[in-house]
Amino acid sequence: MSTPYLPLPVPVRRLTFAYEGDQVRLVSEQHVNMILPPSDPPELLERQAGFRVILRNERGELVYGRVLSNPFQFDREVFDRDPEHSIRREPNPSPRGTFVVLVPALDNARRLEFFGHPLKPKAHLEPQRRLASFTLQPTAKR
Amino acid sequence: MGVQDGNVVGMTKIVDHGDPSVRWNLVILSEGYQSSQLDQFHNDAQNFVTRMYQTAPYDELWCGINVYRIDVSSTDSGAADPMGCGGTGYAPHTYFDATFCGDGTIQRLLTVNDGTVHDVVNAQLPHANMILVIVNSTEYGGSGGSVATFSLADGADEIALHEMGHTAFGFADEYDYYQGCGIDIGHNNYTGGEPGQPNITTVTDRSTIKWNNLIAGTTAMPTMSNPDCTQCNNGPNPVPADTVGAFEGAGYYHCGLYRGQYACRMRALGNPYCGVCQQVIRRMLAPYMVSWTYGTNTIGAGQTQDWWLWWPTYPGFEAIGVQVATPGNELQTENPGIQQNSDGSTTYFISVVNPGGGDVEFHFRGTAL
Ligand SMILES: [Zn+2]
Repeated sequence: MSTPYLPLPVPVRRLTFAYEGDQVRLVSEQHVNMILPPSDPPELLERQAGFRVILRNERGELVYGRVLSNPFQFDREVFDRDPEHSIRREPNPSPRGTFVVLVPALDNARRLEFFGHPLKPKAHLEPQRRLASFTLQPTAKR
Repeated sequence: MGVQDGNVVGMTKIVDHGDPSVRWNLVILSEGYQSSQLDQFHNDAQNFVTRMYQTAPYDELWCGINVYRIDVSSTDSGAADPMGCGGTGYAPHTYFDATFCGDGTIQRLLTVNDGTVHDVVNAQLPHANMILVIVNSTEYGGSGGSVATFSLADGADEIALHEMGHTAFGFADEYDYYQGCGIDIGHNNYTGGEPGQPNITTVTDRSTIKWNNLIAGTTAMPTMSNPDCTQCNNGPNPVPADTVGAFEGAGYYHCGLYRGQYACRMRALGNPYCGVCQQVIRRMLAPYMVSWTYGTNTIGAGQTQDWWLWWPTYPGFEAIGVQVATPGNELQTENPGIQQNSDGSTTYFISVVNPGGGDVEFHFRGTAL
């Protein structure tokens, strides 16, 4: 059985994070009603490679997750007008920045986790792990 | 430095397709424009909107997209140009502290203080899905990340379209090197797991590859292999340009990772998004397109109802489903199906199940492509 995905606005947490190196902290949380994509399939979130954001309930079960481009900029994309060399990556000597994650404000969501390759340049082949974990405050009943 | 060096003047919706809670919202901010130059920013933002509208598949998804312009004025004009990268040493006072040579070594790396950008956007439009900053400089440059930054130089808007692929749609890079062909060490063979990103894969089986619906039965799989895994796969395309298959060389590796088409904007600037990337963008933006209710009904406790919907084209919808009329009630759906008919039309199927203990009223809805 599947839960029907309906393209309708839902309560969403807009979470702003700041990081320096591999240290990340939650800076702010806003609540907004908007449409979100459905959760990626659990087998993709648990097994495949790459950065993902995962919401878990109090029993640790996955309740929502998305594969995202890694927002931790341990390398920078460099562009050039030369069509033969228009894009490349360069390691970032001082990774720091701010990013936003949008997740549904689910009543049963207790933790938000970042999962993926280690936070350093050229880590694409290294074993994946939990990168950070945050306790979510219960959302006020609407 | 920073927010003392200017003002947030205000926000204007420049593409209006409805309430931001039901649309995909792009925000464009100005950096390095003095108050007297904001009219120019209005033109520059409009030029990007026109460029995006002319870029497939955004053209066909336009009704699901809002664009907001946030006018931010700066004390000085342009972006810093440090001498450390061979620049002029120009150091203007601007709101988001835009600078070339953003990492201290690469001139074209044009960066802004993304924390300040998020502060402004969070305050002005918390519904934002994607954030772009246009920097008032005619020197070529840009950067990606949670905020995509680009200058006014010819072709720099390509940077924004590439970075939107990463930030908004989760695409991997499709180029098969890291710093450059012939420069990299350790980028010959990918030995990791299947990437979660939708546009690169380790799979060459036509029945299980992520984009199997786009591959013609006559297309060889893999479509293009790399004969020398110590080098980038830069040979000529063996198939017509619009062929979707499996082309070896992607995700920073010469071998072992495949992309869906020979060329793509995620592989090199100046190309269209490939068919695989376009399909992902269509699927991700479909929920923001106008949705309609096709029927309303009541289902009794423990009952199952089979619903179908006919549409004259294939495919006609990206999402069908049911919505309970009273929040708090619960229904489940089973066996969703799509059938392409011989006359080119589509029939959609879905079973609605009421596991609860009372009657539940629901709407049967579809979201048009
Ligand atoms: Zn692509």
